[in-house]
Amino acid sequence: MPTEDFQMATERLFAEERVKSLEWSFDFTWNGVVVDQWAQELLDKYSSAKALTGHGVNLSPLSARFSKRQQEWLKLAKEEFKTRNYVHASEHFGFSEAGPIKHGAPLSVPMDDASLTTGKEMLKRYADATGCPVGLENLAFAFSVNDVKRQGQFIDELISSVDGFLLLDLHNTYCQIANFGVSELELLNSYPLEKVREIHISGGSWSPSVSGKRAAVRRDTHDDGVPQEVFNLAALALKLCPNIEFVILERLGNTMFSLEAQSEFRDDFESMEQILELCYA
Amino acid sequence: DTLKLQEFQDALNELLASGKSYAEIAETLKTDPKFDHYRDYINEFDPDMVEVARELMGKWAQRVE
Repeated sequence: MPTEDFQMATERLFAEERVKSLEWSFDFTWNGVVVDQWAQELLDKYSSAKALTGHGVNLSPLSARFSKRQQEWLKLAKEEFKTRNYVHASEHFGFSEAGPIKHGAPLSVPMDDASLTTGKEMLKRYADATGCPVGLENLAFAFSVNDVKRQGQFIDELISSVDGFLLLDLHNTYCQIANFGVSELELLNSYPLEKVREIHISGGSWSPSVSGKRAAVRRDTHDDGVPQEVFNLAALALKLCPNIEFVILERLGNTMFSLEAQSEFRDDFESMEQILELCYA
Repeated sequence: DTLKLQEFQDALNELLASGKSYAEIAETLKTDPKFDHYRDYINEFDPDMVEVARELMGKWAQRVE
């Protein structure tokens, strides 16, 4: 997020040239948000270095109806990918646009032939628009434990249709482990781990359980430091996934205004650096 | 099947963003014929996750207009 707090937290990391790649949610600016000069310069620098990855947020690839908004989104993506040099492009598994809602929360889908056909068609359009490899990020949200168990194979079928990749978000994985009590190894192994080109790490929060079935519900809010459990999952994923090229530390904008939060973000970055050094030493 | 999926997604998004309470949403999911085609899928829904989706949609959903 190109926000003031993000700049304050990361300025030192960029100055010391410790940030080896950058991910840009390129549709962030399509609502008229102006990106400051310092962020533009970073994007240009990483684009020139072939170290910039693109991450779409609002395509809604599993929406059953191909809308005018999505058509326009793909046109804008095509222009964006001519402007900057992205290594690859990712999007989120699930649907958010349907009925009277053009943007909402990405939700899971019934994993049947209709959803598979819909998703394959949209990924093909996404690949055509961006002209680079495209992939899907696993979803934290699941309506049920069966959603959790089915998602890995279903994503594999989707991305295989475009020779695509999996973006494995480990906080999303942690949410499912915490909320549904599934085994971390079993869950990771339900995904096509050889197709993972990128992993995400981030923090989140807890909210109350209305059912009383669980102590609390883990939420992917990106507004706190990375929990130890996610670092542990990252170390495990780095061992299990032979083709990882990018590790991205995510944080929501405007959530790091205290010096303590900014320092915590840098500590998380350093922890991830150390894990990478240990894994690839 | 694609039209059935459209109908399901339309109805689910509209319901979750309706501002109705969790109890009203749970009842509608059980009884509204719009959800009949995906009845088995809906029967698996975890109440906590329906509440999370309801809260998220209430906070972030943008209507077409």
